[in-house]
Amino acid sequence: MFGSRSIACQDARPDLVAWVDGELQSRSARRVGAHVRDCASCSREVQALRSSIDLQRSFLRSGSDSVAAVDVDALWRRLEPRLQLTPPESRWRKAVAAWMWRPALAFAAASLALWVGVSALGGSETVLISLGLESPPPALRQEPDLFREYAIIRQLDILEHLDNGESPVPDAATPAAQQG
Amino acid sequence: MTPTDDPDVQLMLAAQRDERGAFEALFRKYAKQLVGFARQFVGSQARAEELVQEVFLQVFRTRRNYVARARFSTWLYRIATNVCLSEVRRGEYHGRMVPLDPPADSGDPPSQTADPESRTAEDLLLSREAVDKITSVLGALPAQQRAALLLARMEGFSYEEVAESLNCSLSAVKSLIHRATLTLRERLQDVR
Repeated sequence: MFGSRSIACQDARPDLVAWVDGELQSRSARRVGAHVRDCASCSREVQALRSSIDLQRSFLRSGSDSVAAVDVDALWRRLEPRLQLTPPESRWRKAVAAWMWRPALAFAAASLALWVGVSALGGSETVLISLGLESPPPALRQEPDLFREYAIIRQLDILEHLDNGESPVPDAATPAAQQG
Repeated sequence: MTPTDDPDVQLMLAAQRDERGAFEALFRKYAKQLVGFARQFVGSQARAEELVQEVFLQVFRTRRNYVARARFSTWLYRIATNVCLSEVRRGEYHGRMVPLDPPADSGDPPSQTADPESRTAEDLLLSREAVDKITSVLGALPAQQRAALLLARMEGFSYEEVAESLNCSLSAVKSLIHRATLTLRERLQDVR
């Protein structure tokens, strides 16, 4: 029969609890049912599960019954004054609260990207110059086309002097270099 | 049955329109069973009653956001489960056996049989010792497994409703209930 082809124990076992609870889709239920009919071991397992589930239901429902002493009137009298002090949560305010973190996250991401960019370019100075936030050195002011290669040339210059164990050439843009 | 056929959904929609009587009716209908549910998480009935008040305060506060998508009880238990799980996560109850208060009417609690054909009510009458043992094993289950088991076995929710209440997938619920059931079966072998 379609959908009731026999399955192996290892495939049936994970579904046995749901099968006993009547929570399997019809096709799976037919397959598991057919297996349980044919397999003595799984059939015993189902018996044991049924017994355990009955015990659980019995215990849990008896637990519900034993709260008969709940004084609902008294509970309501305690709750009612608190309701007066509880304003309803409006939909738009909840939505705003839910979205508030997004601009903050975007700002943090942008700051991080800027910091990574600055680090990758070897320092803040060239980035600040490229952003127009700092004046370029006098030499670059005279030859603005040189600026494109300025950051790379400066990095190569620093690396070359490090390899030679020398101090890098003083930066023309620094106040000390300008004074010298 | 559509959600709007559920009379409790109608009451909740009325509560949404600030009809206080409707809210009170929902409280009176569910307070007792929610205390029973919460008690399985916190042990003490007094604390469970406080949690139930917290649940209804949240229902009242968020009533404008309510959308009738399923049975009202599914939505209510979603709030109740969140409140109980938050309480458990505070750590006071973690890894600790939480014995339930003895029932108010004293003596062994009454029992009901879920499957009348397989057992009689007398068969399922549980001794105090058995109740303590089951409470202990249930209290040691991971909170999510316990919540899924309680919703399914205590409140009679379908797996789909449990998934809605726990805000997780159907397959996750199947797995939670499967593991919880096997743990209980294994540790309660000596309990009749």
